[in-house]
Amino acid sequence: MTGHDELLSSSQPPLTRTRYAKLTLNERVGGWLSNPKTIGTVYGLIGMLSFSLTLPATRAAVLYFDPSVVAFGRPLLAGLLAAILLFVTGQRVPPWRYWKNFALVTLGTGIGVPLTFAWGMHSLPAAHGAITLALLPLGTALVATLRAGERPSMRFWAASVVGSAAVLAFAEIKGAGHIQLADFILLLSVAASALGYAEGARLTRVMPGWQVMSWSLVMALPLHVIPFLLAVRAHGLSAPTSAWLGLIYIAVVSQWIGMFAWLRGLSTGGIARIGQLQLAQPFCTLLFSSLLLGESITPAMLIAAAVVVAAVAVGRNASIEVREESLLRDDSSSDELGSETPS
Amino acid sequence: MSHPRHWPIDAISSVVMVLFLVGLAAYAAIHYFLFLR
Repeated sequence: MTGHDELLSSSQPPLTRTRYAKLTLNERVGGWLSNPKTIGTVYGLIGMLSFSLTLPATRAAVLYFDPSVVAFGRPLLAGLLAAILLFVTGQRVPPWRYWKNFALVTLGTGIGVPLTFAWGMHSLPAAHGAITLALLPLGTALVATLRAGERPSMRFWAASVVGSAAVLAFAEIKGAGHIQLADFILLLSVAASALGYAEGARLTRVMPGWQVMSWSLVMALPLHVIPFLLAVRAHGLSAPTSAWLGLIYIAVVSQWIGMFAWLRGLSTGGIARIGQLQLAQPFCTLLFSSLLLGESITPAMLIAAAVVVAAVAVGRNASIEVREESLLRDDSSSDELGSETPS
Repeated sequence: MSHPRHWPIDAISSVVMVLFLVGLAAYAAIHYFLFLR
């Protein structure tokens, strides 16, 4: 009998997805491969690696497309594909009681992130992008505390602050330099991402991550159509293949498919805990850049990356309590778990 | 057709992303050793 079966057979009352999430967040359930922390980390790593190509892809796109075309085109294309997927798989509209949560995911990832990111990349040097990634895991943990009822231990917060400081120091060395007034945009971007991630992960405990992300993009669709058409009318759509590939990547992967794995990782392994993986994102971006574009890897980067890996490892093993009253109500009989492994 | 809830799209999309990332990493490594080293 696996640890998973033991947990199922010993549980009273019936085990729902949300209750399973609460019970397993700090428990060693099953073998190494079936442990929620391991599964969450694997999905989180896939999401983080997908996002590590967002910055070069965005730069390839905004080199030829106007930033407004990219900002509105990214969620529009993703939303259209999401609508097709939901239609083809015959999904029903989510229950009304979750619409407030969907509105927050849409506000964060469907509206806030594309707008602030394109605006920020337009008015700030690229090195400032690392500042966003340095603060985002702290922001995600904060929203997880405020909205998802997670209570990370002091050890977790200490590790998270050390990791963020290492990335900030690295951004400073990379030439982020003085903080400008426009850096306020990046704080908005951090807040929007953190809200979308934490709220999306809360919903992913009651329905699959791909449905959470797809529905939130479909809900944002009407808001993007007219601004996109106006942007195209003003600036046009003529661009070389590299710019189109960049736009397609940030729409299909960064805005949509990458989020499937990311939300599932956050909801399975703990929002605050798995959110820390993004501290490693700037280094993965630079690793790809060094292999493809020949950018040199400096000793400072290796030192900062080593500090980040240590901070993520300490944070991963720190305990996180969850207040059950903060978990979304998931009382439909179809959500009860029998011998099925929760997703 | 299976119940709408049970389409394993999270898992399928993750496998596709892993294949893409492994392919890109392999391409990047070959590109690095052939042209940039």
